[in-house]
Amino acid sequence: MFDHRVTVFVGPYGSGKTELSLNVVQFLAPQYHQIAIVDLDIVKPYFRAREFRTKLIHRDIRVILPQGELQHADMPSVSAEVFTVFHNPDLKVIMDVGGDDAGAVALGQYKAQFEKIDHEVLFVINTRRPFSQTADHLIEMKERIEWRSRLPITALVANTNLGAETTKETILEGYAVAQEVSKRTGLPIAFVAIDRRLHQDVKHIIKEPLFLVDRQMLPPWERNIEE
Amino acid sequence: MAEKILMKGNEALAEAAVAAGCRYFFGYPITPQNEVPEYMSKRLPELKGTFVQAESEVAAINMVYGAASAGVRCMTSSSSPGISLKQEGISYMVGSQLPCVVVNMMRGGPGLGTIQPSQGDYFQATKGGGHGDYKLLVLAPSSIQEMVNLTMEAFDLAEKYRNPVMILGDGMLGQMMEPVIIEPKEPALYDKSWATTGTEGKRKPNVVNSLFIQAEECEKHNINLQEKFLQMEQNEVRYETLYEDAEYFLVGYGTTARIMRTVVNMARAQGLSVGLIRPITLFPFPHVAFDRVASHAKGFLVVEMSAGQMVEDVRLAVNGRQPVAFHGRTGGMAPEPKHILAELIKLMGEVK
Repeated sequence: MFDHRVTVFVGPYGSGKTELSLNVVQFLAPQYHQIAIVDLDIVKPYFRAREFRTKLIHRDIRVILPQGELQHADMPSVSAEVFTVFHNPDLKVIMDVGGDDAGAVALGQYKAQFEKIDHEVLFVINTRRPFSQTADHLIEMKERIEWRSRLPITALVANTNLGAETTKETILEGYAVAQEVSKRTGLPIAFVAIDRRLHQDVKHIIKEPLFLVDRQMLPPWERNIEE
Repeated sequence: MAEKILMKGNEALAEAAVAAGCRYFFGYPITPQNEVPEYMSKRLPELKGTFVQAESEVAAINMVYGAASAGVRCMTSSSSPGISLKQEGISYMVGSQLPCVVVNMMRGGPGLGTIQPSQGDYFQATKGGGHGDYKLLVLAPSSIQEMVNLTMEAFDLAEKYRNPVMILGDGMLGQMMEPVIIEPKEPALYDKSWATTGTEGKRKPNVVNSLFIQAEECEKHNINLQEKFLQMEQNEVRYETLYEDAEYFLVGYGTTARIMRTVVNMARAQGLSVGLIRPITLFPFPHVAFDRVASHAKGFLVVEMSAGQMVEDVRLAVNGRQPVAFHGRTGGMAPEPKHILAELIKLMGEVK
């Protein structure tokens, strides 16, 4: 997992890209001298990676986000600093892209840069989301994202969950749909993302690598309890 | 049975409207409610319904007026600044006795304010935000599932009273994700003989209008409207109370009530006698919730994401029997549990 210099998360709106980006970058941080997360989300106004900026900087993770006041706005702005990540061969990069083809459009301008570097584009699937429940829906969205981002998707991530109410059955049912998408598109499943608390329940059933997630995209009242 | 899915509040609200039989949506984009029109733009064409992105909020509410006149289930949605623009149309709809659902996912104000969550539109929602003597039935969910249930009910209530019903949420409720179940149900059947659906040459045309040339007629009309608002007060009051035997009560609605549940647990873990009163209908306001605890309550702390609006209704309900304190954050900031707890302990010290 994550053996390319740049990992880009794309996928349908609300499929879990920001949650995964935050988890992956923190998981990888101890293994890399230089690591960065790029917040390319031009779609959603709340629950963006930039809200975790302070926590990430404390872990020596570089956070690339719209500068100044713009980071709090709902404008489709990306930082000029994004271009720098393509030119530093020692930098490990996680990119969190906005949902649907509307969010993927932010990637299009970097087409020439991506062609020169080692990267993977992961399509995140949560089949318990609206308009994402069938392989047909997902494959149509995959094609729309590739068209708007000007980047071929290289692998899938099975991330079916119901937040705090996820069960073993939820994961396995989404995994089956992801397998169907994999079969029909020829794309491998890079990994299956699961809530850490369900690890024991599914680890013997799923053949692909598992990535364990600790939920961080919580409403403010749940975040406060933890502090 | 329908399957549980993970939805943002805005999406869930839109699907709930569809499940309640809404097939007509007219709106104009504004953060943080954009997922409502976005969802409707995908969903309604699948059902041969109509989605129109209007040229403005003013146009959208008047399209709702037109659709409602024809007796169909229709909705519009916006956030604070856009809801201000819709006020004229809402007043006209009350005057014309038209059912519809209006959604406000509140953001920081006044003016353009911020895109972050707020509860600064309580007065506007509950006291008649436009001109004339009128009320909306105002429903304030505090979870995504409750938003689904109340939205579905809102369409029935709108037709029952022939009056607009407002779902008053905030950006946090619109943007956060929770698992929900949405079960479609048959719309309740209310008389729609008033609707402008074509006479087929068999009857006199129906007229939907809020203009009364003679003052006597307009006063009669007003008396009828007031009678409806009184019926709402008698029939539709909804609230939730946690620990009704407590000595002190936190009072709040929507997102703030979610935060206060955490505070109630923190306070009770310290051995404090604390409960929660959560109005679900903001109009009609649940005075009864305060009467029920009047004999043993020692004080109330109202928390809002505003400079203090619902607190006025709480003071009217408590009617001087106990002290009512207030804690608020504005501009898109959310109150934090530890600050609410500190205010609560301060109030308890002042009372003792």
